[in-house]
Amino acid sequence: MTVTSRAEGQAMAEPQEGAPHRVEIRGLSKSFRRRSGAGTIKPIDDITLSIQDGEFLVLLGPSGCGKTTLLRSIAGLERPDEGSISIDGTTVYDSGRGIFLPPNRRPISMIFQSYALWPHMTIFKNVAYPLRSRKSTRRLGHAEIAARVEQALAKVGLVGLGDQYPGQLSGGQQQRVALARALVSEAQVLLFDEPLSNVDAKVREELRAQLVEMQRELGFTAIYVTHDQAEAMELADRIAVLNSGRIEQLDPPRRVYQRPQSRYVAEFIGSANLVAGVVRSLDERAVVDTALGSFVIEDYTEHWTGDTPLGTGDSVTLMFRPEDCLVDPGPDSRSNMWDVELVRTSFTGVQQHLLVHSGDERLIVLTTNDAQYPEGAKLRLGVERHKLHLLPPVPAESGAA
Amino acid sequence: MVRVAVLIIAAALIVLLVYPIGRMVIRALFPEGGLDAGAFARVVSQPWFWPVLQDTFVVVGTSSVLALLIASVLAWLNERTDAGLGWLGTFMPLLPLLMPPIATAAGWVFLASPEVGFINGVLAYLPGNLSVNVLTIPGLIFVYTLELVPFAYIPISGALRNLDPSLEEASRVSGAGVIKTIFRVSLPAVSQAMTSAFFLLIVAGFALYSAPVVVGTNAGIDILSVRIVRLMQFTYPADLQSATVLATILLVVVLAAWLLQNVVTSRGRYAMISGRGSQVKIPLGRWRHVFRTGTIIYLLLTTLLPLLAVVIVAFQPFWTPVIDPSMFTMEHFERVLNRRNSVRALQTSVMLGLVGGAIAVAICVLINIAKRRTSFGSILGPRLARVVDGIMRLPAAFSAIVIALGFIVAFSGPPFNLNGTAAILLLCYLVNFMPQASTTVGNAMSQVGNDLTEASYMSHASERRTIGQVTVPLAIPGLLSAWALLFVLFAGEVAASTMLAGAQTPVIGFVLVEIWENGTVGPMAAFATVVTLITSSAVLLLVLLGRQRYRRR
Ligand SMILES: Nc1ncnc2c1ncn2[C@@H]1O[C@H](COP(=O)(O)OP(=O)(O)OP(=O)(O)O)[C@@H](O)[C@H]1O
Ligand SMILES: [Mg+2]
Repeated sequence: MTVTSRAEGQAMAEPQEGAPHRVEIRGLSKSFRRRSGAGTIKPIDDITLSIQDGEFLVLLGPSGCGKTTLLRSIAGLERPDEGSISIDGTTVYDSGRGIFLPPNRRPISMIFQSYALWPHMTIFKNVAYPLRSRKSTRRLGHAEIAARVEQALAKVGLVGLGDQYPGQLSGGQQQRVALARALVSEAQVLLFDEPLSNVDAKVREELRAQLVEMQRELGFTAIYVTHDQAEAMELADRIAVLNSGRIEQLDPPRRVYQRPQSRYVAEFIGSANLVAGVVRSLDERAVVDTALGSFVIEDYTEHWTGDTPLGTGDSVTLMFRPEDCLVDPGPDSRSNMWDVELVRTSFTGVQQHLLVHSGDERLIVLTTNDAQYPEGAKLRLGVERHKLHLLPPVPAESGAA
Repeated sequence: MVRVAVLIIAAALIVLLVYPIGRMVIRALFPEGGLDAGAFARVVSQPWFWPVLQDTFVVVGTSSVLALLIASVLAWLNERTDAGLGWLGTFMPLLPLLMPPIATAAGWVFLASPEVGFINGVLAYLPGNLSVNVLTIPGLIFVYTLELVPFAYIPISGALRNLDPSLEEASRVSGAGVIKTIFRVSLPAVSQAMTSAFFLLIVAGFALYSAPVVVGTNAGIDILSVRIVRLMQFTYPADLQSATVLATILLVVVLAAWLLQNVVTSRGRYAMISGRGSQVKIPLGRWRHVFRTGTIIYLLLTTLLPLLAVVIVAFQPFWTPVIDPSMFTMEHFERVLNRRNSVRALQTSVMLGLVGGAIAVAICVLINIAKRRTSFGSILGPRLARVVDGIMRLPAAFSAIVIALGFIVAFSGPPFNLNGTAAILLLCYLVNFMPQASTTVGNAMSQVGNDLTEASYMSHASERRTIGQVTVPLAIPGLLSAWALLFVLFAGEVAASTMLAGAQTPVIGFVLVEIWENGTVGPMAAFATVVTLITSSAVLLLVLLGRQRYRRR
């Protein structure tokens, strides 16, 4: 990442007039027939999604939830069954009107997990390829192409490697070349399919930081697929959590973490303690009976994520984060408190994880205090009243993995 | 445009396959227009008919079983144990291609003929009255077996490679020994591949021509495939009627085995769990070296020994079991290379191999591109693609002799009058080797990963540019090696060549048989040496090209 490229990077970031959304997806569906045996699988199930200009959107979800299929449908590498997609105000797919713009004519670029550099071309030729393919830049002179390739390579910090072949570079370098190849054609929308999962941890961190910086600088719109929640939190303006082809929640990272809409999201993003309960009473605050005792939730409408208003006698799932648990808090705090027995501890340096149980409920506690508790110790736990969340009850078998 | 071309090619292929063979069968069954079993009855009542049938079945049946056993053991050692040869092991199926099959067969005659064979020459120095004789039914079975092993080795080693090693490990961990593991786990898991390989061996065994024409003829053993050619070549006038009847019988047997093989293969691949990555091999301990040495000795014996015999006979003034290098002479080479016939044969075969191989590769590339399915849509619909695929593989169900005889019946007379031309040879080779061409080209093209082409689309390149700049250039090493393989197959073909080549267009296979039939072993050995030199250079090229991969991490 060099500073010299900042000037023209900002020029590229100029938003286009009259394009409120870069990418608009409406009612998109796609199913595959399973190869063996009967039945179909629906990796995209009626998805509607608008992505702002210059936004960094992360598609997050466990393996097989349809992230790649959705991304490939936007790219045009996959033909959806229903719905519509428009990019930069141009409809690239519309099932009703029978429109399908082939991938090479969509104003996008894509970065693959496998880098997908062409091993028989030098780095220079790899990066120059989009320029030589595209109608608008095909007739550029040699010098002009060379200049643009150099610029793109400079942006990713790979000056002077143009004569090498992809096989001679490290994984991290190869992915940078792939990024340069995607940037060179100045597409405004960049698609990423788990681009960092093949490089080692250290390089991954580095590339992630560089990617954020570059996106802020160049202002391209990014749609980024990952199943790594830490990566999603770091990169995203908004995260779309996918669950078997549907968007479960679409919010900024902070909100997804603090206000998970469902048990699925709560368990997938960070770790969560979930306890089944029944609402006993509602006024300012809610009182919920659980196997651990009664819990008081302050300002409950703020902490209830269900679609319908909560009523007395309703079943709910009580959720709180492990780091919100207090171990042996003072006697008259405004916390909910209950007794547990310690099962196991593990110390990670900054924090210690405690696994505790109370009856059949097993809970995880994350604490920064470094007191040593013997196994089997009786502890008192507390959670502040505004750190509790109420989620709709979920049938036991559909809990997230 | 591509679509039209592909459909025309597929149609041409099916016409070239079905029309001649159809004509041939009709001719066998309806000689005078009406259904007439007379021709059949006449052939069946010949004194040679039942002995030919019996010998053929005994030889093909026994050698198929033996080849299956040997191939299974070799494949298991190489794929599943630490006695494997690694790089050399993958080279194993290619070894027999080094020499034209007819030269290998001749090599065994030189090695193991009674009295004059080199092995007998060595055995004479040893105590005891030991001797070997290849010119017997067991001898013929031996040569057949060696030629058949690669046909079974390829599918069985493939199945073993895909076998989930954790199954074997689980069995070994639970206390079962190596032998028990083989019989309980490895063997049942690949039984389907083995059954399928067995039928493949039957198909290949009935189609074999070089071993029986070289060994069988000298031993006075009459095999079906040779008898068919003999009826056409050495009976005056050619007994086309009887030949078509025999070819129809051959056709039915081979077709039945081929269909059975397909039934077995299509019955699901339940045993084949892809064991990606995990390369756990069964340790054989002390036996490891024994087995590895055994494998190497087997390879040397089966390839180097016959080659050596052929080369020695080529340099000897007279074939004698006493090898005396001071007597070596170039006279046979001079004689054979001064014959216009053999020089022209070399030229024609090399030309046919190069041009025909290139045509076959081009056809298969075109079809492969047409079959490819992308979000753009595909040139051929899925069903049409399957039909075209089936047509490309169909010739495997007919042996070269049947195809060649069909060509004679259909194209030698008016209005085509193609008898003895290079055109009829080229067409026949193309049809006959289309399955091999289709498989190797398919493999070469599929080595280009999907995301490499998709990355090209995402770089705004059209389909045409993607094919021209990415797919084909990346497939080129594989395509060149497919070309080399086809060259070797075309140049070493014997059965169809013997029937279709004429005096004006001699080819290698035709000349080799011709010299052999004349009983002049020296020139035959010299010519075979020259041919081996040519084909093994091509095989070497094939291996080098096939190994050349771009370095990817
Ligand atoms: N071409 C295809 N044919 C049939 N099924 C497919 C195809 N592509 C994807 N699928 C199925 O669709 C589902 C979603 O796949 P997809 O690749 O979109 O998942 P993903 O969220 O990207 O998972 P991962 O994190 O493992 O990459 C999977 O169950 C997959 O098996
Ligand atoms: Mg994926």
